Amino acid sequence: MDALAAEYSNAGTQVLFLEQDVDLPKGKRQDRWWASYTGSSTVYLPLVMVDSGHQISNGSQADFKATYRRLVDAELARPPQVDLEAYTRQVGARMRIYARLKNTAGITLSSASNGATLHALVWEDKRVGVTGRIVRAAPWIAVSGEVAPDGEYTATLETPDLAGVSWSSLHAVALADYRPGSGTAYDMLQGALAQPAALAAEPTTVTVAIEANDRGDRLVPLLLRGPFVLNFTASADVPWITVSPDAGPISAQPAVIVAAQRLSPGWQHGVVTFTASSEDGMSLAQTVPVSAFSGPRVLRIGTTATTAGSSATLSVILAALGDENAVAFSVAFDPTALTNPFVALGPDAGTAVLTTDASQAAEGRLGLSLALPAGQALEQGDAQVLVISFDTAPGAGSPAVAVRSSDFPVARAIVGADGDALRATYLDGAVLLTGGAAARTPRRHLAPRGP
Amino acid sequence: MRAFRFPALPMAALLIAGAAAGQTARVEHADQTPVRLVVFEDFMRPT
Repeated sequence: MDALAAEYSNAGTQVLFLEQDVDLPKGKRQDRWWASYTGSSTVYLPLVMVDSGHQISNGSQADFKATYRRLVDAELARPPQVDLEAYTRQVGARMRIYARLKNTAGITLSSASNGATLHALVWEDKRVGVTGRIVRAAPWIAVSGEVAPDGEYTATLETPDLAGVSWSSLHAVALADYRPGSGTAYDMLQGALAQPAALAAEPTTVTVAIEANDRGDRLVPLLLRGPFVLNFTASADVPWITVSPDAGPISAQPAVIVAAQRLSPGWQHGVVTFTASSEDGMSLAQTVPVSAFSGPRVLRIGTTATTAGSSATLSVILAALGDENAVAFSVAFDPTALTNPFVALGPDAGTAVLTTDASQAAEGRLGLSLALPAGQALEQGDAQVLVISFDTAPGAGSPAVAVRSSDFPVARAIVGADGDALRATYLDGAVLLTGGAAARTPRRHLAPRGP
Repeated sequence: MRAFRFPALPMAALLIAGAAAGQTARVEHADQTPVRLVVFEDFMRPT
């Protein structure tokens, strides 16, 4: 049995192998074996079952491992029928288990109609009998009332006093079972390893970047996790963060709200502290660091100097806030001074795909678009996303040839990883031609744009 | 401020595809198939 347990553990599958003394059965577990058994009155040890008696066997097997592997593999192929989460903690000499079940079975669950029951199997990693995992207690509770499809059921289970055990080797699994048919046999709906009672928040940190001209608050939903009996309160240490709701049962999932109008330019940091307590004496806390950046999102076409008649290379830099997935714009230039445009992805474009519309290049218009894979975004900071090269005409009349952002043939747009249109400012660039009249830097044209 | 516009084709298709695919990716994340935890119990007599 230990070899099988190691085999499934090494394969990363979720299988628990638990042993009980057949003469000292705990809870209702051995009853489940007998509820599934329909043979003669004589059975042989060991009695074995998977998933509350969905399959059973007894007696010696020609090949134990092969027989039991077949039982387990058949169960692994079945989807669970409820969502189950469980937490545990030591209370004196007892273990208390908090379980929350969401009924996804598509039928109403109740003790009265189908024997629905919630169990906790508490085991110790210790070789007492044959294997290294012996069940010390198996408290259970009949599911009272009716749990409709998509309904929830919560219960607190507790062991008797556990004497002579090593608490650091104790674990618990919560499982729910019911009678699916008209017979006496049970089936397990789902099991869940109980985690040590704690308060956790997902994501563990919040980082937002808000365009300087964007005045809308940013709302980031959090997922609070912990024993269902907890009630939480939330507080922030800076005025630009609020939490809504800021108190309630742990099932009321809060959101962090960053007030855009209260941000200062650049980075700022704050901390949200969640504290949670229960009537049965738990007191837990969790902090969520929040970082916010406020600044302009700028797409800047670079400026370069070159000798008239040679090639010119311009960088396109996006001062990114970290949420940009796709960028589109056009460049407009004097086609008598700049010819043969060639565009390549810059070193910071990552795995973006570049699309170029050169259909109007002869008229001095070039459409450009680059898109990262779905859901991805550029990192916050200056990103060299494109490199544009031109041939310059020898003896060009003007010492400075503007390369401007425009909307033809491709309109200016920046799209976020969530698909939303993002506000941005676009700055023009130029090619400065030397070797003729003295070059002079053109005045940049500042054009804030966006939704 | 000017209203947001999607660019002309083919960039429009590219951007829309990116946004739509992003939504699909989120759905796939939310729809991660739950897995059964199998509980194997044996009732024995210590030897």
